[in-house]
This record gives sequence, structure tokens and C-alpha cells, in this order.
Amino acid sequence: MKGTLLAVLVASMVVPGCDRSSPRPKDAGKPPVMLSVGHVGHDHHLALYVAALEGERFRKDYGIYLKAIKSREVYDLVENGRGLARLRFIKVGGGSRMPAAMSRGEIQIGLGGVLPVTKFADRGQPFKIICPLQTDGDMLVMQKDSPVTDWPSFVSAAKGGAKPLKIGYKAPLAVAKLVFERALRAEGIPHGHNAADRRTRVILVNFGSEKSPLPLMETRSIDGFVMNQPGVAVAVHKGLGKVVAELRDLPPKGKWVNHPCCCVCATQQTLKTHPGVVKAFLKLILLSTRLIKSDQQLAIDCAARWTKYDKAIEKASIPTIVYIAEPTDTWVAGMNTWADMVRDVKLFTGRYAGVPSDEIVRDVCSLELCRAAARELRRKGLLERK
Amino acid sequence: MKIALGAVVPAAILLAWHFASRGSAVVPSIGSVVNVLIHPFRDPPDLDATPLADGALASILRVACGFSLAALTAVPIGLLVGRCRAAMEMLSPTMAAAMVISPIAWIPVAIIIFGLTSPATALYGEEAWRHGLLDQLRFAIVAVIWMGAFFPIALNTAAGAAAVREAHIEAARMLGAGRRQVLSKVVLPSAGPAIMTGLRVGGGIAWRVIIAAEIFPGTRGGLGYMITTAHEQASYEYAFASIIVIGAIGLTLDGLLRLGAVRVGRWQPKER
Amino acid sequence: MIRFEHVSKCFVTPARGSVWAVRDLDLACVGGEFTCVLGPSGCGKTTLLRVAAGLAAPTQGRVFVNGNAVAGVPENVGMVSQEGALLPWRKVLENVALGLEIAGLRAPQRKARALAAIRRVGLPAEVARSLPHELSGGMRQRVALARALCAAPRVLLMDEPFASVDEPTRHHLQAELLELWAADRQTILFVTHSIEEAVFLADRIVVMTFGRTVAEIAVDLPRPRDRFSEAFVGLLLAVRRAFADPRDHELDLDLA
Repeated sequence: MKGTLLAVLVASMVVPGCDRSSPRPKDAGKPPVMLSVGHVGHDHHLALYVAALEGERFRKDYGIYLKAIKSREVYDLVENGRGLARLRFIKVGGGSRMPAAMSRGEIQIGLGGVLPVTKFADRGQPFKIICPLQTDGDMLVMQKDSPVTDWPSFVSAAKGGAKPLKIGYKAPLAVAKLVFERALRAEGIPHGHNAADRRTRVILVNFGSEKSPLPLMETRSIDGFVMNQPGVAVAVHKGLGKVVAELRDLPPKGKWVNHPCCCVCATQQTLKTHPGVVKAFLKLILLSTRLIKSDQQLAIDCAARWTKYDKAIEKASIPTIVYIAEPTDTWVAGMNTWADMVRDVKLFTGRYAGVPSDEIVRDVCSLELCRAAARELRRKGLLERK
Repeated sequence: MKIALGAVVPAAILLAWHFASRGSAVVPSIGSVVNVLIHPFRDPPDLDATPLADGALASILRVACGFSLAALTAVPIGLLVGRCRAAMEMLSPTMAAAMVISPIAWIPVAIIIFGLTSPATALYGEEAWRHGLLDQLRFAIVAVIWMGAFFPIALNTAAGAAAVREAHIEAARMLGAGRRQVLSKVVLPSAGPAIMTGLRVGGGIAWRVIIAAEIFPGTRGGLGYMITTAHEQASYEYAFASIIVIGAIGLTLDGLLRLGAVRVGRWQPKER
Repeated sequence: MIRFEHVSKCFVTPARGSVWAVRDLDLACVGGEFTCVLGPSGCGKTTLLRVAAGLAAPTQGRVFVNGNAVAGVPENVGMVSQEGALLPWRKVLENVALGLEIAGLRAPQRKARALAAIRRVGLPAEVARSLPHELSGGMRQRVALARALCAAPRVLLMDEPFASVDEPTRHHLQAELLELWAADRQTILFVTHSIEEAVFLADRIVVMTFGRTVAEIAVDLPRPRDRFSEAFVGLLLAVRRAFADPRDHELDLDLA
């Protein structure tokens, strides 16, 4: 018996070891630096996927590109014919999973939500947000046959309806949830998680990060949900909901326009030891973002190819997302707003506890490389002047 | 007749499934699930995952690794606890307490300890990505499976070892057996049925745990990963197909262990 | 030969504290002698046997087997217990060959010797393929005896080996044991609570009560012994009288 078990153990190691799915090319020309890049796999990080899928176009048009070594997993970052770094793409997941992976040293560059990164920085992790990725793209979705058709009718239904409305959200620090809660507060709608409290008019239901709200929608366990794309587009595509409001339009009016969502961040160590590589990577993101904005069909195609979502879903999702890679004043103001909100709910308990919002944003962001990358691209005529 | 009776419940399930899928955006049709099952080597066109067969292989290998490690560590420790009073007093309370903690609860701890390391990263460092399957044997996943399987195996082994009749041990000693021979010729065979029971229970837990364990970040293959991703991307036919494959593999695994248990315990008299 | 020198054995129990199972016992068995230790349940006779077998260390005193002080299980000593202690997962042949397997003999040799031992104890060769639970009590005891004899011990310790079988079978087994002993002439120390069995089998009967020997009775009757002869019955009564303590009337003594 012991022998059988030993054989199974050895086989389970040897069999995979025989896997030679990636033939080893000659290592001449292998870039000197290996970095791991964490991402989530959906269209908020489209800039990365467009760069990965359109390597040849980038090589011809820009001279800076990703050369596929193992599709979807390993790419060489090449600039002007020189391999700068070998990048390993790791799908770490959304929310706090990306900064958590970074804190364990598994990734050096990460694409993810601005709030989780800031939370980890609050705990003393040496992370910096080095460029924005996109803003907006968060919606309020209601049941397809709901009488609610827009925000005003939602407010009426919440305040005057026979029963409280149950609205799902994916994570406590999700941007969509924070915006929605503030909007409810601005409208004077009592809300919370306690369904037993008779005063509550909107009951918030956490359907779990990365999990889909669709089963809850189909079983009518919730009346609607707030979430980022492409989850919204999936629900509509499946016939399980309708968009009644974009969260950017929620009250206080104008506060949520271009609200920051995802960003690129890196460890301070990486910024210190490989600034050239990081700058080249940021150039790639800048160029990719520009391409997304100028060729939406390409963006939809690339998104569908990478995420494997139906093209119709990406077609509905991408136009609602604002892809930016250069930090603007509006973006920085949006970051200040997030810092305010997180501080108000006393979620900053470390370095940022009691620190003013603008100082928090200045501390967690390190945008010089991004701006330098943009300047270089403008000098070469690869990016429009501001 | 036996086959007919055995088919009643599956038939009822299929019927219920058929009716549930009609007009549902979430419950996939039987046909769509079958379509996934009959193309196990195809890259899923609408799911960010490896083919079903690759996922099954990755899951099987992870479980094989974790379960084997659990058996190789739990059986000796169980024997020690069962036969040595000092070891029993030292280890039993901790084992009893740890056993009631669901292995899934250890997932965050495993991530913190092991991260994304694997035999491939240990052996090949930065080139780990070239060794796909080996890299998929994430230590964190294997550790969680080990946690799930270890305690039932160890505790059943300990119970079996403690129940070995002293008369049998003394008989072997009188025939000249030393400690190792007493262990191999008396204790192990006597405790064999209990060990096999532990292996069966542990094997079942190991297989069930893999589904939760495969939500580890950085995992791209495996049946559990496929279920989670299918849920996220609302491509539920993959989730259902994965569940069916999980059930089939789990049944096979249990069947094999049951055969082993029958073989090991065939000396036990059957009461009629 | 077996020699006990001032052997005492004490057990410490939570309920009763120190219990002296054997007290200052001296006994010598010469080579080739068939000695029965006779006594009621709890008199210490099994403890005495276990001390001789090296399975329990004496609290005081020493034991010698074949001239060597016993420290652990001595060589060339076989033991047959009341239940036989056959390993239930092994077939009869494998049980009988266990000692040879432990000694490292090769499979063909083990098989041949084991089969010979099985035949010697009066069992058919087909029994070799059976598992212990498929045998009757008497057959199991024969197998246990075959296992002990297979290793060709010079000393055989037997702890009430026939106590759990019916009377006719017991008589058969006793007769067969005597035949085997007559051929090999080991030194046998046979524990029993049956006076009749002791008188039938032994060259010498050692009577024990409460951890001590109270009498040693030589049995000079020629073999095979007639259970109904006057001499046999007379010896039965003599042995009975050796249990002088009135409390023995309550003890489990099988007078047959």
C-alpha cells in the first residue's frame, strides 16, 4: 500500500514534469529582467490585453511592444529592438487579491482597484499607484420587469414602495458600492444590511467578490445590483436586468464623473531598481489606451478574444468605460474623494489614519514615470498633445 | 432490475434539470452541457480557462499529490499515536482540534505561507512558466488538500493501531519478531482496515476540497477554477460540466479506495 | 530447562494499588520435563508463564531459560496461548510459517516446513489455505501449536491452550500433544486450571494459589494414562487436597 501511494506521489510529480508545453527556445536574447504582472482578466484592464494581442501592430507603429513567448502568460517587453524585461502575466483576481499578491512578492506590477491598493499602503505596504487605467463603468441594474427605469424612479420606489428594495454589491470596498451608498445618503434614503430594521428602505446584499449576481437576480432574491462592467453587460445580455443609471450620474451631482476605478501600481523596490522597464511598460499602457479610444471595434475584438466574453457583451461594456492612462486633475480629485470616503468610514487604521486626503493621494501615487513616459511619446509624435 | 432502480434518481434529476433550464438564463440546457463534455480537449471559446480535460488532469494531479503526502505522513503519525502513549498525549489534542476546522478555512493561511510557489518555481525559478502542469501543482493548493486528508487518515490509523490485540503482538514477539517486524507483520495488517477507512474518508475530503482550493489566485486550470470562472462569466454550462466530471472522478476514486478496503479487509469475517 | 529464582511480580492498579501476582517463587523444570502449573483463576500462573516468556519482567528475582537469564523474549522458546492468537489476516499456512518468515527463511522452505507442521498436528493440508475464522476452535488451537512447533523450540510455554474447546476435542488435543512431545521431548511448562488435565499430561504438577507454590506433586503414572484407573483418580484427590485453603472451594477448579 505504501508502495502504491509512493508511486502515485512520484507519478503526480513526474507526469507534469514531462509536460513540455513551452519548448525552450535558445536563450540568446532573453531579457535580463523578469517581472510578474498581476491582472484580473476582464475589460477594465483592456489596455494590457490589447498590447498583448496586438504585438505586431505595436512593433510596426510604435517600436515598443510585447512579444509573445507563451500566449496569455509570458511576454517580452521590447523597445527599439531591445528586450527590456520578460513579463509574466498572472491572473490574480480582483479586489484585495492583487495587492495581497504584491505584498507576498508574487507580482511586482499590478493592475487593480485604486481603493484596495490604498488600503494596503495604509498598512505600510510599499506600493505606489503609477498610472490610472480607467474610470467609470459602474451601473445600477434592476430586474428587467421592474417599474424602476431611472434614478428618480428608483428613489421614489425606495422611499415609497411597499417593501424595501434589496440591492446587491460585490465587495465592501467596491467603488460601485461606495458611490451608491453616498448617493443613497444624499437622497436621504435609509439603507443598510439589517433587514430586520423597519426603517431600512434599501437593504444591501453582499453577493461576494467575483461572484455573479445573476443567480440572485434570476431567483429574485435581489431587486437589483450595483457593479462594474462587464458584469452589468453580462446581466443585460442574459436578459436578467436592465441598466437604470450610470453611477457617474448619481448625486451629489458631478461628484462621481470620471471616478477612478482601476490603476497600475508597482512596488517601490521595482520602481527603484527597474525604472526604465516600468517607464517602458507605462508607454505601452499609454499607447494601448490611445488605441482603445481611437478604435473601439478593435478594442471590442481584443476584449472578446482575451476575456472570452461574448462580443455583444464587450460591445455593451466598453463604451461605458472611460479608459485613461494619464493622470488628470479630475482623476486626482476623484482619488481625493475616495480617500475622503474611506477615511470617513474609518477604514484607514494605519499610516493614513487621520491624514488629510490630499496627502494620502500624494503619498500613494507616484506619477512621475507616467508623465515622463507621456512626454517621451509626445516628443516622438506617438501621443497627441494635451 | 438493479440497474433500472439505480437509474430512477438520475432520470429524475435529468428531468428536473430539463424543466429548470427552460427559460432560465442561469441553468444551462442539458445539450449545452453535453456539448462541453464531448469536447474535452477544446479550448473553451467563451471561458477564460484551459480545456476541460486539462483542468481535470490538473485537479487530479493536485489531489494525487496532496492525498499521497497526507497518506505518507498520516499513516506513520497515526501508528505512532496509536501505539505510543506519550505521542498520543502530545499529539491527540492538537489533532482533534485541527480536525474540526474545515480545510477550506486554511486557504488564506496557505496563501500567506506558500503564495504562488510550486515545484516548478522551486526547480526552475523564473523559468517555471515553461513547465505548465508542474507549475499548476501549487504548494498552497496541495497544502490545503493535505490538511483535509491528513486528519481522518491519521485518526483512523491511530484507532486501528490502538486496537491491535496485544496477544497478536506477543505471538509475533515469541516467534522472534523485532519492533520493525511487529510493525510490518502485525500492527499494519491489523490496522489495515481502519487505515483504509481513513484513506477513503480522507480521499473524499481531498477531492471535495480541491474545488474550493482552486480559487487560489494565479490558478488558471482545474475543475474548481473552471466552476468559479464559469460562475463569474455566467457561462454556467462549464460549471455544470465540471460538476459532472468532478462527480465521475470522485466516484472512480472512491471506488478504487473501496476496492482497496475490501482487499485489505477480506480477512475479516462477514456476519450474516 | 526453566528455572525461577525468588521471582515476584507486582502490578500497580489504580483501583487496588499494588497487587502481587507472584510472590517469591522458586521453581525448576528439568530439560525434557512436562510440568503443569495448576491453580485457580487469578493465582498468578499466567503471570508466571509470561515472565518465563520474557513478556513481563519480574519485579524481583530472576528467570533462566536454557541456562540464560531472561531479558526480553528468549530464543528457542515457543508459546501457545488460550486463544491461540492466530493472526486473522493470514491464512493458516502463513500463520504457521510466521516464525520462519521472521527468521528470514525463503518461501519454498517455509512452505514445506509449515505444511509438515500442519500435518504433524493432525490437520489436512487443505486447511493451509483457510483463514483462521473459517476454522473450529480445536482446529485453531492445532494451528497455534503447529506454529509454535514449526520453529522447533526447545522450550514450549502453554497457557491453558485447550481451555476454550469442548471436552472430547480437548482429550484429542491432549493426546496429540503428548505424541508430539514424545517425539521432540521439549521442556514444556503447561498452565491449566484443570486438575484432570494436569494429571493426564504432567510429569510434575506445581500447585499455585495466591501467587505462591503450595505443592509440587510428581506424577509417576505411565503413559498413556487411563482417566478411570484407581491410580489416576487417587492422584486427582491428592492434588485436590493440596489446595488446603477453604477459600479454594469457591475457586474455579475443574475436577472433571
